[in-house]
Amino acid sequence: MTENDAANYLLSEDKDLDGPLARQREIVMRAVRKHQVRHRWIVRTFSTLFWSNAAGAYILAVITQSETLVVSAIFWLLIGAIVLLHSRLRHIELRIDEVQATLDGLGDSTGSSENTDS
Amino acid sequence: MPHQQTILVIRAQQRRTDAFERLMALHERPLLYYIHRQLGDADRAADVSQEVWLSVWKSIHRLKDPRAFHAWLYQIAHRRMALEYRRRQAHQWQNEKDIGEEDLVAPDAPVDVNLQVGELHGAIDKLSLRLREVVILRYIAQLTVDDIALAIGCPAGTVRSRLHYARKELKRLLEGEHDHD
Repeated sequence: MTENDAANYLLSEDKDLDGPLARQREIVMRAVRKHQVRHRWIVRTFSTLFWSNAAGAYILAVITQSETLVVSAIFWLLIGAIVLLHSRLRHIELRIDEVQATLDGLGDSTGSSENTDS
Repeated sequence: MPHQQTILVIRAQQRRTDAFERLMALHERPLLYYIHRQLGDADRAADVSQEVWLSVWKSIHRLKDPRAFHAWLYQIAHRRMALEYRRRQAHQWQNEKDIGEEDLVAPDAPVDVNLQVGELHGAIDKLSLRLREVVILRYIAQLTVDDIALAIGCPAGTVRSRLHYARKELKRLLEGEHDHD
């Protein structure tokens, strides 16, 4: 029996955990989904706010020929772009990490099968 | 940590709930065991465990190295329990004296598992908080000594020392029980 098997056996024999575990995942996942919806709503609201501010300022700048409003439009445009870029870059970074981890896993399994063959 | 788990962590960082749920399925049992044994209260342990998982979901995108997830998870649990103890004003948590670094043996030596499981759980419960914590993290949650050090915020030497004393104490308790038989 390995140390891992022993730990799993010990855990499976602790019946006090069965009741709370059955409820726990459902409660946590419900809260997680709620949080996810709220998070998306906040991101979308702020992003819409930045873009609409930029568009509004630009339209007003054209109508009133005001340079201050042009600066304001550029400012909101920049903020919107930074927020968008930040979230996109993080997403791309995580996708690269995921591909890298998958490749590492494949490399390891290929290596171990080569060892077995030899 | 296996690559499959690293991929799950990265997917959870991308806010994918399916990956988070699978990650939770892998770690929820040892985590709840750890919290339950440390707090000694099943209902409170369930609440704390849920709070830990929610905290993990909210801050997983900030985890720099996905391979460190295991240690990070128990670090969150350890901090959450420290808060719980502070709330309970359990002085033993702060006042228990640290054990010295001397007289160390390899903590990875095999453990005799040819025992009654109930006796072992009982003996673990009889250990002091600090010793119980390292035993559960090392042998139940399967963390390495370095990961335990990271999780509970103390040097690896202290973890080895505590493991040594915990094993000695467990042996004494279990032999004592057998002598009674």
